[in-house]
Amino acid sequence: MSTSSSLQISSNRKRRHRNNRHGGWRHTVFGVLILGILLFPVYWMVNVSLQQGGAAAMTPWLPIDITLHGYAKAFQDQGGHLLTSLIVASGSVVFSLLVAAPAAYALAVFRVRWANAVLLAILVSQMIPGIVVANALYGAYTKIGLLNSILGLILADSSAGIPFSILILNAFMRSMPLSVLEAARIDGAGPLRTLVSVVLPMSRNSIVTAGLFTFLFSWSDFLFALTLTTTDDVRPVTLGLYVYISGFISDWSSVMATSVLASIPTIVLLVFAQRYIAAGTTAGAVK
Amino acid sequence: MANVAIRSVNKYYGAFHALKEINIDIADGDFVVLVGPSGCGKSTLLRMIAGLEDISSGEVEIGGQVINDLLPQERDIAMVFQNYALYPHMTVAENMSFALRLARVPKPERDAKVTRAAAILGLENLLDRRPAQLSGGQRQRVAMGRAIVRDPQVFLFDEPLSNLDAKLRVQMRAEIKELHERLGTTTIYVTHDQIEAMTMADRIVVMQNGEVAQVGAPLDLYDLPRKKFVAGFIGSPAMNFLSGHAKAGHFLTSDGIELPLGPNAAVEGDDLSYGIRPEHLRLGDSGVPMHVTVVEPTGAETQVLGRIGEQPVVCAFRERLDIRPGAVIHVLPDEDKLHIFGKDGHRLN
Repeated sequence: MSTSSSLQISSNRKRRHRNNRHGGWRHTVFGVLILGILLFPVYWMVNVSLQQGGAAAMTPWLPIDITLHGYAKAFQDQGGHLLTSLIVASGSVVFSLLVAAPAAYALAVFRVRWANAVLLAILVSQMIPGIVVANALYGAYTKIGLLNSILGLILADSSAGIPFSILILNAFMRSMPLSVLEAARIDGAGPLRTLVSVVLPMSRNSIVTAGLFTFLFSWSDFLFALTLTTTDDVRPVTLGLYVYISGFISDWSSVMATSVLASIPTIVLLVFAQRYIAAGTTAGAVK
Repeated sequence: MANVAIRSVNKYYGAFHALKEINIDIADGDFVVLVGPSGCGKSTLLRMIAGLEDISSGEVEIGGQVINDLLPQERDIAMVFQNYALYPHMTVAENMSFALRLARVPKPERDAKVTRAAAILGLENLLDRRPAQLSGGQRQRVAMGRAIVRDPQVFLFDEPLSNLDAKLRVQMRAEIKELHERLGTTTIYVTHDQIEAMTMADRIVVMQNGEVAQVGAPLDLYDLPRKKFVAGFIGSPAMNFLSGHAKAGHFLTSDGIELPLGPNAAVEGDDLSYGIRPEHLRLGDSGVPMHVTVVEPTGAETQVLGRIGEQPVVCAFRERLDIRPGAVIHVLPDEDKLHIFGKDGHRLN
């Protein structure tokens, strides 16, 4: 009786294993197919950018006659816009973190009475549509003369970056072992020294995460740029691309080359930052 | 080094009275252990001495100076935390020298102090490592090194060994004791482990429900506990308590079993506890019958768990005995070692 049931179990296991193997193969094919569909626009962007200009739909599937004509034109026409985007996005990251880090620290570590209500308000502020903020800012910027300025765009993008960064940093700092901060107090560190020498280095990963997402948001911002700039003086690449498409619809090569160039900083950042997003930094602080 | 005086200290959390009129005098160079069950207030008291908790009322003095209103860094204390509390982004050397750096101690002096502390704790080869690259014992040593380099007046230890495994705990216990012998710094050590308290302390402060239950040398507490709580808390296995009443020189358990009172024949009363330590019960044919339920040979001794009447009792015999669960043995209490406690938990003999 026991021998027959153990044989039965063994054959069931084998069948299941075979099914799993078949299932695994099917899953892989399905996964690759989905990935192919997702990545096809990226491939098409690179493909078109490396060929002679013209209508995108007429471009051959493979870039056999490679030309960098599109890139040369993209640099010539959009180089300034790319630089503007870089300055605005980097400025937003720096400004957002400068404001968000001490705010998150205060909300997380000090026994602030209404900390949770403040955090809820910050969360709610994230739900306000961008266009509402942009319209409100337009009125204010017109009065204080921040329209068509890099500083204006940095502040506008930071209006999204700061609350987001506070939420990310606060969540991390709340999980930080309190005893480490108490050890710093006993060692003679005041609140500011504790923030600079202990909390911020320990929060490296969450700072990278908050900074990265603020950069990505600012880099891809279109709404604030469209609302808060009225001339060509200060124009980020998103807006530049938009104007470009309307003006050069017949030369897709340079449009796609600009898109490729606009994607590079975010790709580089994501590749370098991903290990910080995943890893923890409190290892060894406490048991 | 300095003496520490805790005078009428109270701690309130809202309406909750966490510490009640605490008075403790700690002499210069003493190793005092605060021990008690979880929630008794021992860590709160230590944190109040460290300056991490406010003192609701009363005074704490270090070296004759009232420190109630001083910041933690102004109290000249160093604290070792239960979970090490090392700075994970700093090397061992940086962790140890952080306080000195903040105090603007010149680098050569800083390095000399770190090197000296590292030599004392055997950390010389680990100075460039980060905490994540260290074992639990090494991390605990770094935490102690961080305290040593400051050369404080008082060391505060908050359950520093409770995160270590049993073997390492015994080793670190000896190291901390040796360190104290070597440095002679006044030390206040919090633990819930009474064995740690017994083996390390010059004096033990037993705490219960936010009050000091008894203060004394380890063996004084063991031999002459003034309260039933202290008698039950100090010693492992714990003291046996048999409830009953005493009259005319006899103690009758609630099950009607008569136990000898010996020199304590004058004790009388109802609702008493007849306390006897496990090692003070010996085998004897004329003794009280005990039904054996579990036999635990530990090598050094044999612990026999059972019941006298319906009341649980543990005996610890030095001999290796062939006793089986289910057997009935006869035990005799050592009449000179009895502890009789009244209804209110206070000692009567």
